[in-house]
Amino acid sequence: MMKKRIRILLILGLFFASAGGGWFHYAYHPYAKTGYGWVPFIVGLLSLLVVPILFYFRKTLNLAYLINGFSVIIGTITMAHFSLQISGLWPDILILWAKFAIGRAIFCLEVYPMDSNPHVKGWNLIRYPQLGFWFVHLAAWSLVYFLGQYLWR
Amino acid sequence: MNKIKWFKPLWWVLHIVAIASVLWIGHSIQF
Repeated sequence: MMKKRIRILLILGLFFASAGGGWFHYAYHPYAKTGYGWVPFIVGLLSLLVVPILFYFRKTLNLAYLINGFSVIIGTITMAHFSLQISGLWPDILILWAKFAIGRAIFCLEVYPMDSNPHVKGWNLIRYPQLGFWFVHLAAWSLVYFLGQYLWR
Repeated sequence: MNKIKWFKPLWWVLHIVAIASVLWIGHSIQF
């Protein structure tokens, strides 16, 4: 019972963080103005309306965990790019990673028994659903983004 | 997860779509 309450509280945490983030973005760049303005708009809608619902059900837990993680990654890359070129958004990136932590907390709460201490070794460290999976994908997405930015001109 | 029959094609589709999308985002963003 308490587990269910904690899960709902964590989902609410994600919802509020996404609502605040979405509000921020909409104030800065309404989606219709530029093509890429659709990216925060769609990702924002997904994490505000879809991800909390997907996190609620055990069947869609993996999908929620994936969408949440990748939305944090794309936000990190684009805001880091903006920070380097225009002005620093580093605090915003840090706030965004709170969403990653909450998402992982919901995932672990559901998947692992409360008192378990899984020892992951070798290649499994960088495979789904371990943290290494996310580091590898952050690096890979950064590389692909960089290629799009500097080579596809 | 690997036991699902359509896991491999899904894996490929996801990777191709993701790479194309991120490439396009990197290409289209101009601050």
